[in-house]
Amino acid sequence: MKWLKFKTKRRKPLQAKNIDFSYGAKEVLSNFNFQITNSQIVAIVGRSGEGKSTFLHLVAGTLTKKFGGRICISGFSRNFSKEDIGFVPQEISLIQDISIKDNIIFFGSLNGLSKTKSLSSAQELLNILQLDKISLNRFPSELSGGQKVRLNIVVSLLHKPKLYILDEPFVGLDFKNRKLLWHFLEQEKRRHKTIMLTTHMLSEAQLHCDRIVLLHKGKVYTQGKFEDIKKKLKTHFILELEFPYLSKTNQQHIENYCKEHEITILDLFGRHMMLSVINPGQKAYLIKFIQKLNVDCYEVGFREPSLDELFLKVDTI
Amino acid sequence: MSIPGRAIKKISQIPISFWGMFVKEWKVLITRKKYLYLSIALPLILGIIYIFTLSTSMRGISLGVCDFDNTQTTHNALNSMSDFDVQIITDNNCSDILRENVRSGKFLFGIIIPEGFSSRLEDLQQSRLEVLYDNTDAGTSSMVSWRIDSALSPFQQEIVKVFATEIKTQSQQVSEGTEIIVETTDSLLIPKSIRNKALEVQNQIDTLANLDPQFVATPINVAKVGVFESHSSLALGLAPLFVILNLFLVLMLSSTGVISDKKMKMFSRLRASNSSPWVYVISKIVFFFLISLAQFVIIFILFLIFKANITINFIPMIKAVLLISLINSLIGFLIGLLSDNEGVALLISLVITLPAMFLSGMFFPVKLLPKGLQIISNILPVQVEMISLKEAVLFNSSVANMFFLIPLGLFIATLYFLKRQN
Repeated sequence: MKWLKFKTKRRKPLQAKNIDFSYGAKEVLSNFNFQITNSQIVAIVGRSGEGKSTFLHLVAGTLTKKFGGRICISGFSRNFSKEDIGFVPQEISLIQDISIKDNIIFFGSLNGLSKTKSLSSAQELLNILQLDKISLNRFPSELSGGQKVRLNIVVSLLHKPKLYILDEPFVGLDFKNRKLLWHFLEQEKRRHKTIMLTTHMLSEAQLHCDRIVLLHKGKVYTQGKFEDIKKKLKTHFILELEFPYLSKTNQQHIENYCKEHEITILDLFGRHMMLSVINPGQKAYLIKFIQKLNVDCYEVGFREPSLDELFLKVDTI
Repeated sequence: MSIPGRAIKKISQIPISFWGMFVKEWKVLITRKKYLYLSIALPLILGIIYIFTLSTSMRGISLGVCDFDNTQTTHNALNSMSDFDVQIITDNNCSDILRENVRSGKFLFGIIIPEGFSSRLEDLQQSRLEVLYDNTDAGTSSMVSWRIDSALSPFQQEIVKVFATEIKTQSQQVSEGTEIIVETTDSLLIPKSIRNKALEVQNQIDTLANLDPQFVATPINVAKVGVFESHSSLALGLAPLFVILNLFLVLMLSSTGVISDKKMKMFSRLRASNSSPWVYVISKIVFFFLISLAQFVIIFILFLIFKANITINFIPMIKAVLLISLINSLIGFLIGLLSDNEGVALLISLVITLPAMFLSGMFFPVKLLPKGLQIISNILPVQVEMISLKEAVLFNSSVANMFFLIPLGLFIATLYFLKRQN
């Protein structure tokens, strides 16, 4: 018995091996491998269409199309581990025509919770997510956007799952609500829950997540802490330059120089140029080269990159 | 710009806005191909069915006859009904056999020609003719009143033709007799034979004088007799009324319900949860069964208040209502699962319900429809629904368990499509 308990404890909340998935001819995930350890917040990031949400839906079992590979949740196949998953879809899927209380009872029943259990579980979550002051007799349609998102989370987690799967939970939330949601997720992590989410709020993910998984072309491009990603993407500094005037020829010269010296132009719009450089020396040589071209330029910023800026680098790969 | 200038500009922009909106509607229609196809299909299907049902002929319709009169007149009249498949029953208990055959559906109609039918006509008295029909068949019942008269018209014409000749002959004889009387009025001695002739004429004139006015109006009184004597016409309406009501209501409610669940990503929730798709389907089925049962109870009580002659036996009735609600709600699910939105679901529902209603045998007897439509009608579950409830309400008999294979098939199809839903 002791051995069994030990085994269960050691089981990974999620293991995905050799996942292949495509929408018709379009390959979304190819030989995709992924796993999470207990009590972590993991953000899956990537450009739109890279397969972030698809992967989440595959784990949650909401996609009906067949896929290659194997997904294990707490050591079990998906069919036997639904009770361990709390899936929060991106869309607010509350029933607008019935009260909040009835929504809670209904969504609880989907996971076999009695009315009393659903309501007591909901009360706990409503308190944490600061929805406790709202009357349960109100209708979801009467709530604000932020309140709806939080209620959507509440009804998805009533059965106290081990693995939270949240698909873009911060969409449409203001800063205060986002902060509240991050605090909630961190609190749940402390309660030994494992959280996997997708987001485009990269700076916030950088701050709150234990691991960031960067998807690119249907595969895990890199993952780990922010520093690991920086290293992998060879982007230690960001240089921002402003040109009063930049001719096409000079622009071409600068672009060629960057290509030759492993400097990546992350963004070029009008007179503004954002570049990724590995060290300050690279920056000094670049400025010298620009001066040689007799081009006026001002350094707007030279700093460590944020995850958002690192993300721009992925586009250039 | 001045206020009048702005007003003129605003008015001048109306045609552009109108055209923009009109073009948008058109483009949406073209893009949403299902709308377009269904909008075209609905009038087409209904039109075809309507034309076919209106042009139904009596050709090939089986007709049983008990000719108790068995005279040349009735023989000629029956021969004139060449459009029908006339079968004359010669057994002693002809009436009972005919009645049973109409009940079983072997004959669509039965005609009983009573003894003395022709002699009454010879006496210029109205004769009675009995037409038997299945009064529990809504389509046949509604058709009897307007179809049977036209169907029997060759028969009546033949009879009337014979007796028009008879009247003519008798009139000629009267005329002859009158002539003799006129010729002999001058003679003093009137022979006995002439007196007799005069008396004969007198009798013939009496016959004409006693002419039945009803004979002139309608020489043959066609009595339409339902073969199920114990059932009032009011009770017959219960089955079709409930079936159609349920078909429209449950089918539309279930299809739009599924669309609404689809919109709120209920199926994703369902798959992510510990619940199963079949639980979802069964919960809805039970819900619609209860709605159907409530509908039935309301109609049933209403019919009882108005003294409809209905046999009260709950088990067969509940079984029939269960079958009807199962079929309708599951068809609704399938429509909902295969439709993109409420509009398409509504159109598909109409494309199914309206033709199903026309082909259910409620308005037109299925046997009178062209063979192709008869096959479609027999496939459509609405007819099964009607038969089941009619049997339960009028004959106290339970639905055959075999019929439950239809909802079982629909249930499997629903689960299949539900599992494929994203």
